[in-house]
Amino acid sequence: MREFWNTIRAKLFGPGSQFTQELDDEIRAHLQIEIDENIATGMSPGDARFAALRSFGNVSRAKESAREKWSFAWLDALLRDLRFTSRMLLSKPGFTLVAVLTLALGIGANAAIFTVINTVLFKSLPYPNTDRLVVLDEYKPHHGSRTVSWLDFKDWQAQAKVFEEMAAYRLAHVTLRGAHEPSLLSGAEVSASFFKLLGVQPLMGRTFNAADDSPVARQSVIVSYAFWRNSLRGDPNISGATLDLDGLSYSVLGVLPPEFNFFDKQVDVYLPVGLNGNDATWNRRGYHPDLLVLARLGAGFSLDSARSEMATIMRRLDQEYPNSNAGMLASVTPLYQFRFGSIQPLLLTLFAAVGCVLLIATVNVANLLLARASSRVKEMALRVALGAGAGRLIRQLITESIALSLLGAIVGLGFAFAGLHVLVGLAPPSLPQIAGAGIDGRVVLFTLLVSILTALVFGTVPAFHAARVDMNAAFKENSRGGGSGRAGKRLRSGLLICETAFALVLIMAAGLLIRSLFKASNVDPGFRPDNTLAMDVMLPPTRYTGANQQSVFFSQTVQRLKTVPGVETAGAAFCPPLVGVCASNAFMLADHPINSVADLATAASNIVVPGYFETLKVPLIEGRFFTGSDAQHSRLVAVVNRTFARRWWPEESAIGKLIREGGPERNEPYREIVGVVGDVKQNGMDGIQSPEVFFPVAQFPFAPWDSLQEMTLVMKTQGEPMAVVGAAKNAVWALDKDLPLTAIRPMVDDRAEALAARKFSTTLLAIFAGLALALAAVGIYGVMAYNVSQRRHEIGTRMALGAQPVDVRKLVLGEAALLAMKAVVLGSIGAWISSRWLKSLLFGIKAVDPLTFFVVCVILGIVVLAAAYIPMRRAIQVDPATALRAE
Amino acid sequence: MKTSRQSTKERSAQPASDRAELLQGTLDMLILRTLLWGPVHGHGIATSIQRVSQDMLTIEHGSLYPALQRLLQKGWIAGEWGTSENNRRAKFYRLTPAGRKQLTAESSKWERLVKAVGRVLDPARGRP
Repeated sequence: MREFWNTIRAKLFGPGSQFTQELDDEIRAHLQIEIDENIATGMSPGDARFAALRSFGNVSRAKESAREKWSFAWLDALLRDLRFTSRMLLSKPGFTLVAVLTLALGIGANAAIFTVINTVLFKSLPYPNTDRLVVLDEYKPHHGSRTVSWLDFKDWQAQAKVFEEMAAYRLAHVTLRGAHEPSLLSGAEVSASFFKLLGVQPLMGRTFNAADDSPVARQSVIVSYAFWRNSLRGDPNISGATLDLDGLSYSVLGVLPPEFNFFDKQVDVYLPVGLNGNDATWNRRGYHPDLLVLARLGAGFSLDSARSEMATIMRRLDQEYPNSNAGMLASVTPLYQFRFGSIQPLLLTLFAAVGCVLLIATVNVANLLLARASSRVKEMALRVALGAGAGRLIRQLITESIALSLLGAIVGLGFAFAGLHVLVGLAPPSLPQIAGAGIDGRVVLFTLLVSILTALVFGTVPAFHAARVDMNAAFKENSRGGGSGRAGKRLRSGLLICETAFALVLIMAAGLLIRSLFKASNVDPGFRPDNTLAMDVMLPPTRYTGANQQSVFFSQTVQRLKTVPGVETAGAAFCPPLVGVCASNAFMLADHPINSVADLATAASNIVVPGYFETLKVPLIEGRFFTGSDAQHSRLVAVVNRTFARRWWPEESAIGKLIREGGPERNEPYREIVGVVGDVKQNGMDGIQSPEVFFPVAQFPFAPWDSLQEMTLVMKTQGEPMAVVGAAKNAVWALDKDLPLTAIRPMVDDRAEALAARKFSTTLLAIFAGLALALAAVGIYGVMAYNVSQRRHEIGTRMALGAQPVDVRKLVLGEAALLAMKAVVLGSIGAWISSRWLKSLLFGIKAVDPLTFFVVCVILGIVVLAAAYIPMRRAIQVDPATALRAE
Repeated sequence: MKTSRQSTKERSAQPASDRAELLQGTLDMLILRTLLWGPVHGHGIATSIQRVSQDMLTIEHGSLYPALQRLLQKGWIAGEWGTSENNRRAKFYRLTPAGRKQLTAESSKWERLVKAVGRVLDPARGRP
């Protein structure tokens, strides 16, 4: 056993020495034999030795040649290189520290962002054949997505040949009734083939089969792992147990594996969508219950062929069912794009930003190495004189570079790990699953690759530079080495200009984003969120089946809330400001006849309980708000926002005009516009302002709504909004104790949430831009300091010949200023090129904003001059006598 | 022993032009051939080549060692430490089966080369 370890140790740590030892012994023995023979023939010992050595030839050369032929020579050389490298790095701690830190910053930032991308993009789609999965949706041009109707889905399943498998799905909320207060669960209704499409195997039990997915089947449910562990206490016998969901008894079929998460948010329970199959409204082709369809492309079919087949099918449906399907089209989107299309620009921008930071770090280290190379010229020349080939030198230098880079990578991973904690803490909820971001094998591999690539980039140039050593010049006493030659200086300046230009591009991008954030925060949301409490209430469809029941409930609830002590006024809306998702509908205006579907007015539709506008202090522009007299059997009314009014009646008042929902093929009654209100931001603070139409809840139902299941209750409070929560909840529960109440928050939180994503990306980019600027400043300082030290002789001469400090100052600062100017020119080209990608992230500002650009250039100029300041002072302090003497 | 003494003297009298320049492959072949008769140590190989060629081929003993290393890597010879005639510890080399095969191949290649060169130098001689 001991021998085994000894052999291993010898092989790893002492291969060369063992070989050398043996060879020494052998050659010594050889010589000894020859000497013995010579002595035997009568030579003196001295002569014998000389003769033996002469006939042997050059002993060292023989040893070297033999060693070269030895099979482990490469490993031996590598180990020797590494030993030399570590000695060299340790002997110059300042250089090593700066280089490693610089690399750590660059590589670490890349590792951190890659971790996020890895988690969000790669880990989020761990299904087999992800590239074959697509999402189908129905839409009307100009009206947006309509989601899919149940009957259309069934026809698609029957008629589409291009897909192997299709599954409908939608998110739904269900109320779980148990021992405690009713809780609202996040649920999903899915077809039986849903899990098969995603290749998901249950952890326990089974998933749905076709029999479960039928309207006459016994209600069954599949639970998520988290829900099973937390709410069902990880009961191992859960299969077969029942849950009370929305008042009905569902039998648990199985538990999903922990890592499964198809939707952006945590989903607790999955129900078969087919249970709705006998629902009368679902069997109306024109009813779109928020379904989307997941499908897998069959083998050999392309996305384009899928799209054309769906177009054909939709044309057929259009002709067969003109009432419901006129003008309806289907969209086929690859799953990846569907999930991540919206955050792709952000992630790409961040990746480009850290790429820039890494480039700047690389250039800095390359400059450092170039500077060091000139001080090692004598060493290199000596090695060449002793017989090392250029290849050997380059190999040594590249080994040093890779060692530096790997050290930087290790420290960088440490930075990334620490930084990730901060990053995850800052991340807004709109970035899916960022909470799970962690450094895994793929990240480490990526970091390794990046560090080796970086090493090759920053190491090769100095290595080749150093290898081309002019021995004659190198050994001269007063030579300053190859690095100070004109070519070397130009190279360094060029690199410096490049990295400063990159820093400029980054700072410009950060500046633009910061201004966008500022502008977005200052947008008037159209209402007053202070001292306002919001609460979402959801009615289970099984108990509130009639539209009448629902509207009465909401009206009564708001009435009760108005009486709660501490509440000034109350109201409710289907689609609250900023965070609500409004339905988009088409409208016909009595006095605007239309020629085609494209002429229809489109607007967001919202249902409100009277008191809503007053509670949120939405300004009344004309006419009146809804009142209690707008009841079920009174005159049908509507309120529109200013955008809608201005769009269709720019010159006149909108009051008294008649509008109705739907296109010409529909037959809804006309409503009279009784009020025009100020615009309320519905699509986030930085979204476009849509026209909006409001309806009173008392006049519900009306097309397109058959069922109003959720509303957001809003209350204006006298004091702190959260103080009335308890009383408000009780008021609602007094009407119905089984209703879950969710998303209880002061409305100022909505405002913050609407900006959260933008704030996150801006903060990240600003951090990277700051990092880039700091690195560039360090690089400039380093090169300037080096230049000054190289030019001591020249400066000394100038001063001896009469140059004043101000002239020296001009010399150094002039150089810095020239560098800055070239960097600005190059950087502005870069900024202009990158402005195309940046556009989608900006708000209220153009990508080529001159003010921002000016400020950024000024900042850059100040930083460059500051970085050159200390070298400049050193230059002034050069004593001509000492400088000239130090030859 | 006597021969060696003589050879030392005679070696220096030999004109350089008569010493054939040994090509690398040729040296390998000579070593393999020497080992045909049994294991020999490095010094023994050198003196053997010299002796058998009647001092026509003198090599620097040092140049044997890279060649031996090369042959070791190729697996044509194997080395083992042992004791020499005068009780010195030395590394003995022997031919491996692969080496034996290589020797046959090299020998025939060499013979063909010699014939070819001979024909070029004296076309008449080679005619059947």
